[in-house]
Amino acid sequence: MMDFIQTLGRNTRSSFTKLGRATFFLVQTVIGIADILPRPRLLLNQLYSVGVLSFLIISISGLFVGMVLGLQGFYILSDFGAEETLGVMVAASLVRELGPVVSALLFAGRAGSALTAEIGLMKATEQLSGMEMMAVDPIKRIISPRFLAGFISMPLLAALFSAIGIIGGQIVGSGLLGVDDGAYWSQMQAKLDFQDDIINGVIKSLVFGFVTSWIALFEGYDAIPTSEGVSRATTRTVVTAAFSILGLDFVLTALMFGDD
Amino acid sequence: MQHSSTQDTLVGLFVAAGIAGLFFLALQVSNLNWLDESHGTIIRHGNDGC
Repeated sequence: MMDFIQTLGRNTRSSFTKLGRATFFLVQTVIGIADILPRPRLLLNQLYSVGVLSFLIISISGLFVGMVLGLQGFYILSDFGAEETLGVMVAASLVRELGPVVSALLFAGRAGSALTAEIGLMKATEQLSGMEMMAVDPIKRIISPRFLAGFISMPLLAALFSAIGIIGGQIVGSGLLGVDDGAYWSQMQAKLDFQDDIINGVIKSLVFGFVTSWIALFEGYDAIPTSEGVSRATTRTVVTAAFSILGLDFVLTALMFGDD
Repeated sequence: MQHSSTQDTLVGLFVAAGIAGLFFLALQVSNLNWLDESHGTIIRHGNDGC
């Protein structure tokens, strides 16, 4: 019994210690963003690695998610004779929930794991220590540009995911299943609100981009500098980011759409 | 690492595509119609002299 309590206490203490380190790391990273402005090349390179290279998986996934939503939505709505509201169903699902959440999960798997592995390997091969030896702050030079790139890329990727998904739903709904094209768009425009739906979706994706980039970079920076340590850190990044995204999505949804 | 000008072009295209996606959601999907003047109503205040 005492062993269990001791283990519980040790784990709680180490969790809070890690949270403290992560918070300190975040503060340093955010402060370091100011140093990127004179060197935009650092940010552009990371926008390429984090954003451009994630574009393909996000756009293809968005297309298929939209097509599946169109197909399933049509079968459900046709039971009630409400096929013409297919556009509302597809767009509301994508813009409010699936767009930000699924693109963030894919982002964590594609870009987040790559960031952790890259930073972890830099640590394992003592590149970060080498930079410190040369009086170059690795947080400002390596971490902050990657963090800002993740934060900027996430809402753009989520918007693309939702837009491509809505077009995918239209291809299936109007093109294959015979839903009226005008009804698909007009019902959508009548029911979806810019402030309540689009802006809230963008806020969600900004939060997810912030959290995912933070987790990925911290796990890499905090990884045990061995091959096993880096692999464990990469796994932890995907798992922690997925839990955080889904948990935060619940909280944000309750805050944003709770009064409707 | 790709040539930097190619990389710049790809990043530019990515940002432009993302912003286009946001505009698509704002104008085509939601009911944001501030660019459409036909929805505005002109209200005249004051005495019209009648």
